[in-house]
Amino acid sequence: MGFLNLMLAGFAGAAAIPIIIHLLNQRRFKVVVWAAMDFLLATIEKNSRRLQLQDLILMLLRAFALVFLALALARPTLTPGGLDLLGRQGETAAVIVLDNSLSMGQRTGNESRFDAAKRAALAIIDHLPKGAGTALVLMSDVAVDEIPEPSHDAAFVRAAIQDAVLSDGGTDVAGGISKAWSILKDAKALAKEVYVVSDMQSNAWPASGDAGWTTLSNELTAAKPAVRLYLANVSDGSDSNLSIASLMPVDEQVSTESDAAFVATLQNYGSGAATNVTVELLVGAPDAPLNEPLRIAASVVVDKVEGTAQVRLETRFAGGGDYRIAVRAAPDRLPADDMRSLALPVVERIKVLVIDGQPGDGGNFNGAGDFLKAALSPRDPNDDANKALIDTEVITVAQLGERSLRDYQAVILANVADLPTGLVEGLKTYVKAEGRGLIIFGGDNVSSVRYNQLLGGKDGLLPGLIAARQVEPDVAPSGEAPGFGFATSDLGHPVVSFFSDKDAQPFLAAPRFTRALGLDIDTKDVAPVDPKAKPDDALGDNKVHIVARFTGGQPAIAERLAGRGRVLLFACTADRDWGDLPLRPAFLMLARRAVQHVAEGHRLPRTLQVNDPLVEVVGIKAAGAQVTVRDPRGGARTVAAVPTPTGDLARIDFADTRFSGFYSLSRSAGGSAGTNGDTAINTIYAANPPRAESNLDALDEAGVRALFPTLDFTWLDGRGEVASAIDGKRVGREIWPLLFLLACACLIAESVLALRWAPKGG
Amino acid sequence: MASTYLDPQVLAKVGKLDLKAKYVVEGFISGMHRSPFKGFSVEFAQHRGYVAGDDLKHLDWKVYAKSERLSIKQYEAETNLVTTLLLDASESMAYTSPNRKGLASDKLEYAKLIIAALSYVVLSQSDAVALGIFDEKLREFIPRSTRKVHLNRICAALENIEPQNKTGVGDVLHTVAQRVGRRGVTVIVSDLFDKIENILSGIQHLRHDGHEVIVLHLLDKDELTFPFEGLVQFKGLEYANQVLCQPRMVKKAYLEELNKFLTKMKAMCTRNGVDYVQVSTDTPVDIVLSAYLIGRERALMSGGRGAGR
Repeated sequence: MGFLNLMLAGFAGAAAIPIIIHLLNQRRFKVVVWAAMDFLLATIEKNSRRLQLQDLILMLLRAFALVFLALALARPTLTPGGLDLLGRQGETAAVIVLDNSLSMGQRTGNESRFDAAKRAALAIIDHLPKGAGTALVLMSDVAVDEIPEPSHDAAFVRAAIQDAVLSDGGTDVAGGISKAWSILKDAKALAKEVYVVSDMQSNAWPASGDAGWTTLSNELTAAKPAVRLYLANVSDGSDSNLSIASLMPVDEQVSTESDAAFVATLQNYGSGAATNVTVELLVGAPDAPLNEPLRIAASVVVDKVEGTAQVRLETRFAGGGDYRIAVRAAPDRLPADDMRSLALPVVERIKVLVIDGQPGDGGNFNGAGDFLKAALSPRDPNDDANKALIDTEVITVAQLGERSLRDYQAVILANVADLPTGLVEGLKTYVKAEGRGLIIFGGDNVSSVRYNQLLGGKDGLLPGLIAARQVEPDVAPSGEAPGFGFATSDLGHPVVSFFSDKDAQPFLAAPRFTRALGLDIDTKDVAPVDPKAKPDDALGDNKVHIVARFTGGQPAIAERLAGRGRVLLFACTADRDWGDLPLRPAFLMLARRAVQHVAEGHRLPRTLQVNDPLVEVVGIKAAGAQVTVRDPRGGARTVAAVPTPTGDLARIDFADTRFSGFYSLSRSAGGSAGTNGDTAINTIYAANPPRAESNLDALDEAGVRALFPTLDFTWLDGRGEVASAIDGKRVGREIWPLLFLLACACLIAESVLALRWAPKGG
Repeated sequence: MASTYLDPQVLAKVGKLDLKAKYVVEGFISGMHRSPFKGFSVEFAQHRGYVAGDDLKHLDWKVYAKSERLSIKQYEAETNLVTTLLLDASESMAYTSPNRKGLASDKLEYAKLIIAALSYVVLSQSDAVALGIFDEKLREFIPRSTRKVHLNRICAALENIEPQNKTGVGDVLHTVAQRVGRRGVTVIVSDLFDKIENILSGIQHLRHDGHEVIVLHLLDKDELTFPFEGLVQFKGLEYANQVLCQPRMVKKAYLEELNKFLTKMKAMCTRNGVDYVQVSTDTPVDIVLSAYLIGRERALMSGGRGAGR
């Protein structure tokens, strides 16, 4: 118990006044010589005990009234950990929510915000009431209950705080408080406290009308006992920061064929401009271990960065493989966001197998294979000095023989009529399990019935069913060329995105078609093009994209994500039978982009945001395999590949991507590598902090109160004397109203009893 | 006969009143009190001069022979009413209220006034009066006399009385009953601070012997109202005890106790044919006595004389 006005408690001594008066009165009396003593003695004898008791009761009531009144004036408080009115020891359950997001790494001198936060957290521990239990939550954009239940072992909690490490994640204050509440909700304690030790970034807080936050704050307020929320701010007030906000390759697919260009976006927060900022492009050796240092591949100095600035950096890759790419600016007070990473597969060679169903007669460009080879591999394959990216081999179905499709990154069926069963099954495995690409061109040999039967349906590869009726042109207005062409709208798909530029659109509009396959695509299978495939997209749910349409609106090119691979279906031919596309410049770009697109398969993004799960989808043969995951800090853990519900794939999930940098998944192939789809796994990933985390703009107390006017909290200066501030705020429950009521009750009782016991009449 | 206790105002009021016997008493007086006894000798009291009309059988021839004066013998029987006044002079009668006004400073003084007045009344009606002064026992007894000068003796005795000792009414009544041979009227002027059963026993003894008993229960107003405030230490007059209390807290219970006593006393007196008069010392003596005597006279006239025992 404590007192807010302890000095006034001295008035409790006034309780002695009635006693003193009583004692003085005992000495001050008058003497009467009395005759009728017998009656008096008899009266007193009969009533003495009662009279003494009444006297005592009245005196005590007067004394207690003064005591209660004096104590009420002294404003005593019942603190958790002290005795409560029922005599039980109070207990406090506290949760410390320690912000370990990226922004907490900002340094002021030798101390980072995280260091200050740890210091404040330890001070909080030291000043919790005796017997308090403490839990610990590490808060970034995911809240991790480091100590999931309140622990009474203060040393254990201190050690956990001291051992806590900074993550590279963002901040979610609502998530942190929600996690804390989930711990406290069922805790058996008389007092519950949540301490959020953070730099109070403004973008870490939910919007003021956020329904989830409103529900949470109402629950905190309505809890019995009410949860006391303390916000300890460790921000040093500075918000200037320069960060690498993004890093993107210019081309969707990077190859060794040409220089690779990267665009890095610099973001300068704060009012002043950053000048003479050196930006470096760092490249790691292909398939090199994570701990091997990156070399500087390019460097540029930016004169001035105000707000946002973009920097272009180029390099040339000598060979194919998985590369670690990074862009780095000169470190500032928050070095963690001065670098951004990219896991980049570089393609050295794409081998394409074209199965031509109606080859030309050799030498003349008659067959689809001729046109495709010319478009895809224009250079002499024997010219080692100018090797093309795409190596195209054209065969017929009959020449397929013992060729292994696995040797090729993409297969093109051009007007193929004959689809042997072996080829069909091979293609399904090739695409779905091994993540390769298939391109199908139409033609007179393409039987809708046969193709639908062999490659259609949910278990097939076609994006939709080939209609029995072909697309034919409407009657052309006079003066216009007959036929129909490609529509030049909705060109977001990577295969046609090149033509979204208005200067390139005429090239796409130029080809004319006289016929085309009709495609019946179930609209519920059609999904918008999403450059960031989600993990679930890899699980065989067969999403379909309409890559391009004809001017009449019919699908011209459609894509199906089948397992780990992709299938592109062109409703037109790759020869001149149904139109003049192969003769148009657009064919060059379309063919190359189509091949590059399907060759990379349907891969999940290799570059993630910190705390996003790392997911890899592999063939079912790898199910059960133990895969080693290495993180940027040198740690290594093992996870198992788990079969997917579809039964034809397996997935590897790794959730702990709290550090930015490079991760790797590795496993050697089981048995004979390359057989039965059980391939080696060796993939590089990059995790980057959320862009918004670099914005150090923080909320102060007034800002939080303005955003959340109904939120009851106590603001603490996390860099100041936290302990004394908490002690001052934790006054416990004031019980002066109760004492005042008791004093009044005593006075009323004294009056009533005195009146009742006073002689009447006489 | 001047005396402190013969208050002219009192005497003026009560002097003309009579104290008549309620019951048949011994002796006779010309028509005032009936006597059951006729024709036997009675005790010679004194001579008086012969006046025409006196019965010659009462002529004392020996005195005539010696002195040639005609004298009539007077006998006790002539004074039919013998009134024995009993005055409580115990210490409890010394209680005086601090605010006492008037002639009587304490109960004893007040009682003396009553005694003197009654003595005057009785002697005025040519009855005999005796005085007994008692505390825990009969301290002094002045035998009866009808002579007017007897009043002086009584008053002198009153003036010399100091209150002392405890109250023993009961025992005193027994003593008086044995001492007073003839039936008469016994008037007890006392605060009766004795056990009721003792008092009852004494009264019954007197009643058994044919006496008429009148009880003038004398109490101070303070004793009747218990008006004290604050913290008071009460010191006993008759007993060496004291008690410290807040009178306000015990007043109700005290008055209940007192009233219980008074009620019991009155009932006891009524049951035994005793006139009971509660007297407060703040009531003037003349009012007390005149009211009582007038009331008594009326009661006698309306209700007939007492049937005796």
